[in-house]
Amino acid sequence: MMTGRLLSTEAEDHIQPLETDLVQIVQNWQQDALTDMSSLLQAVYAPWGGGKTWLLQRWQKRWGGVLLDLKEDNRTAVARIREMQTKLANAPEKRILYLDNVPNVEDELTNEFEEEILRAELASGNLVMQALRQRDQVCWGGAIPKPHARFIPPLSPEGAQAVRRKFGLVSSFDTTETMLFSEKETLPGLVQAWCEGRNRRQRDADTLRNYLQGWWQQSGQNVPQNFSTQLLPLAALACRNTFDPRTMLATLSDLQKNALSQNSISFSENGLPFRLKMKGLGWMQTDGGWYLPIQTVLKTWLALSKPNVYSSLTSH
Amino acid sequence: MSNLREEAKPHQTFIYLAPQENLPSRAGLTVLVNQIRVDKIRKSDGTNLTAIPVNLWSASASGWFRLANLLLGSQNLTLLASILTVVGGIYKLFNDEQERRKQQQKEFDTALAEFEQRATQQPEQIANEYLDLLAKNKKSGISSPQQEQLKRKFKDFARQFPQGHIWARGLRLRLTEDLKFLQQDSEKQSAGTEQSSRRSELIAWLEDAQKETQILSEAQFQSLTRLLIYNHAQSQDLSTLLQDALQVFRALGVESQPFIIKRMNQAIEENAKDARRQIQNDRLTPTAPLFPKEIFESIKKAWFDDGKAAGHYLLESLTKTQPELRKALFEWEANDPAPPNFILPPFGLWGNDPVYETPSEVLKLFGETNPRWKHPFGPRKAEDDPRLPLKAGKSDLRPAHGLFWDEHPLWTTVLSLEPCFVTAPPGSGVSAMLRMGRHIRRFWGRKPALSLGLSLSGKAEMSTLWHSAERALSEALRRDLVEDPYWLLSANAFTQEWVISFFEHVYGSIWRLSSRLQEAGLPEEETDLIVNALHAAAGRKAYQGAAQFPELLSMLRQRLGEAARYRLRDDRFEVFIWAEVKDADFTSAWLDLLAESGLLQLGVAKIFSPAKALPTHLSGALTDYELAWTGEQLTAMLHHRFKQTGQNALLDEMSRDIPQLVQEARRSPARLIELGNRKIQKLARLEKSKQGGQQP
Repeated sequence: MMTGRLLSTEAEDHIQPLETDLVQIVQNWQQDALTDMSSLLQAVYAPWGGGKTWLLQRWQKRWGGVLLDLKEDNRTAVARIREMQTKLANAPEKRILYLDNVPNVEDELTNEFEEEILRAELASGNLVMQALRQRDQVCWGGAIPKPHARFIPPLSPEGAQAVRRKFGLVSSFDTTETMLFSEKETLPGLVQAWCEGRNRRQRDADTLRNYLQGWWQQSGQNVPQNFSTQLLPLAALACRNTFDPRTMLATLSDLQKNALSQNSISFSENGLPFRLKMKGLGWMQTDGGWYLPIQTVLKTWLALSKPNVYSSLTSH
Repeated sequence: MSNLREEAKPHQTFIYLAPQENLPSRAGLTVLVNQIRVDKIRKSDGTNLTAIPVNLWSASASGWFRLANLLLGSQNLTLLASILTVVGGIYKLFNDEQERRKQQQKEFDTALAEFEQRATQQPEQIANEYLDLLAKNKKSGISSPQQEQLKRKFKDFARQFPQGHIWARGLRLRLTEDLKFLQQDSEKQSAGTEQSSRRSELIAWLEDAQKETQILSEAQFQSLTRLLIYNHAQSQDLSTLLQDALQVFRALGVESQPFIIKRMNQAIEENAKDARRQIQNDRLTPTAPLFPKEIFESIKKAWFDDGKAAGHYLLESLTKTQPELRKALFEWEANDPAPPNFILPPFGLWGNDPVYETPSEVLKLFGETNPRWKHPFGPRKAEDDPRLPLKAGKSDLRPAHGLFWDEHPLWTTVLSLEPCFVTAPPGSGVSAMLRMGRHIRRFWGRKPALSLGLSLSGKAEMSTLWHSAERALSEALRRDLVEDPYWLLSANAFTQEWVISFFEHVYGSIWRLSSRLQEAGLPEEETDLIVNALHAAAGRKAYQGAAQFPELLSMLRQRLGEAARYRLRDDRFEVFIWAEVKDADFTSAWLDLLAESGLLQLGVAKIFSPAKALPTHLSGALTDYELAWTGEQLTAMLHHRFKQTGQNALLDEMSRDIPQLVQEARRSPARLIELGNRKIQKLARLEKSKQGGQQP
């Protein structure tokens, strides 16, 4: 949803390989070559702001079909399902169904949807493309096969540059942007938030802080009141590329430790509860490493808000 | 002196002398009497008086005599007499007034006592009685303290009967009657001035009654006034009018419905005419709809979307006179039913929080927000775990997404319309299936039905069975009323009387039910209306005991089915009887009783028991099933719990232990939960001990 406005042809390079795969799948489906449920059920995944909604809308324009949003709202499941059924009744019989905001967990709406719509669509041989947050986490019950989810690649620095231009930022990257966007992986949602912040003349550090707060909120965790204070130790860990405060402190020089203590940066969370929390946020990957786009944001934020700490921690 | 002479009795003449100086005290002191007057003064023996013997008194005593002489012995006496007469008169008046006041106070006390008595016997008449008493006493002259006393008494009684403002019911009915007359006037098309004067009188009376009793809230009062003075010529906004009508209906109860519908019909027709006129001015379209879209949209927003039960009730009444609206209503119901009210725990099937004990180090693993709700295992008993049902949109306030694993092969059968007998060993998830069945098969559940939950333990007895069935029905109906009271409000008077008398039979008093409804989450704006409806139908004794249970159940099946018609999946609204027989040894006896009582025939029976098999003579009435678990099913259930609690990362940590956990559970989900709790506890302790010596 976040990247809905980014319909730029210049920022599409990163999805070319993915689209090539999907074009093939759609062609097969059009020729009735897809018959079993697992091949009819396709999925793409990306984290928050990864361009899922944009991609589904783009494909709907290209191949037609019906786009349904499964995001929770105040209406009853009955009302939501009836509305979706009305949309489907007005669509061609052979169609592609695009499902946006497919949650990780089951609720009344998804349960009804599975029973009333999804099973029927698959049984009728319609192609279903769903956008997931995480590759292997989907709300459907055991009767629906787990799809082979394809990752939506992040933007390259060139892609980020193209998005900037859409927002009227035509200059080349400044120092902060070089730091933020020059890594291999940049989320479109981040670039959008960044450009909007710049256009509003918001402080860069505030833009990044708000972006991280938004991420925290959408993951279902309560945002602590002293959010910036909570971010500092995480940013320090991100600078040292670890999630283990003990290991990090052991490798720091006295000068670096002083920089931390002078800025009242302490590490109250550690161990299993901390790892579970970071994994829940999607900041820690299954291999225990940092999720690169978030690590870059944290580092840039620290460089902007506490430059002395940042330079101390990143110096060798 | 002359007066004194004339009035004094001859034989009692005293002459008081006051000499200028003190006389010596001496015996035989006399005063010579003037000879000229001697013939007039005779002694009692007839001889003339020549001298008067003198008694000499003290100076102070003589001072008093001198004063007395001054007062009595001159014209002052007349003045004094006059004064005394006036004072006496005043005193008498005062005395009479005192008497009158005493009498009035006595009458007031009697009236107050009568008021108290009537208020206790007929609480719905409190406001009415108060106003009457006030008016009567004002006429006869009421003192400020008495007025205050009366007001205090009234407020005390109003406080005693707060549910649904029952104390104001009589007065509201009186007001409704007046509204009816006003409406009849307008139907008869009485002369404009006559009608308008009646309206003004009513408004004046209403203002007075409102000032004295506050029977309406300020908003309700304003709404009623606006509705009374409604005049289309003044182009009152239709949306405001719809809101006003809803407010007034909620305030005055179902009796006010004819007046409100009449008013709304008038307003809708006039708005529609205006709209059509406008369309015709723009472009002549004879096929233009009778009601423009905007009117329907206003009605939908005010009464269907936001009006809750009261709005739906009015809408249903309005459609009787507006067939075009009826079509729209069916469409709205089918497409966008308003969410039900949220039943506050513990009045639903579950309590406030998951009930289980666990050390703090375990809770630390689940984050800072609602950690007790995020444990993938937690309570061993289903009744202690409010996390089981699926989350029903944003209006569902539980921080849970639903832990119940609904893919067990037996589950579809359990939810179906097939009567069945399920044999299940302890710990195999019977409670979870029963509760979830009742939850999904409730009136506002995903598969609407009327569900009665019976727990049958100990020796099988018919009285116990009926008692249990009546209690189950009252609990189910109470929940159904809280979620959506419209089904009862819109029922015919006959059905209402039956339902209310059933509640009276179970609860003893309607007051108990109304307060429980509020506690259980019936919204405030609906409570007045419901309590009024309950009260109106109370005391009829339609339902008198178990013998009428089947009749009541069949009535309810029909009424609830009609109310849920747009949500039905299988086009059938059934009564479900969810029975758990606790003891294997008594199962056969309980089943016989269920059959004998006729309960098995009254609805779809779902009977769970630890007994090995269904008695053969009942095999025609029930299908026999067994609730058993395979290792794969337990694994799937366990993964489902981790997914639904958002603990996928923890599952990764524990993944190697899962097969062992499932094996040790020995086909029992309850045992699996217990083992899962222990496993996580062990993990947390290990983590604690690791962290203990190694703080960063």
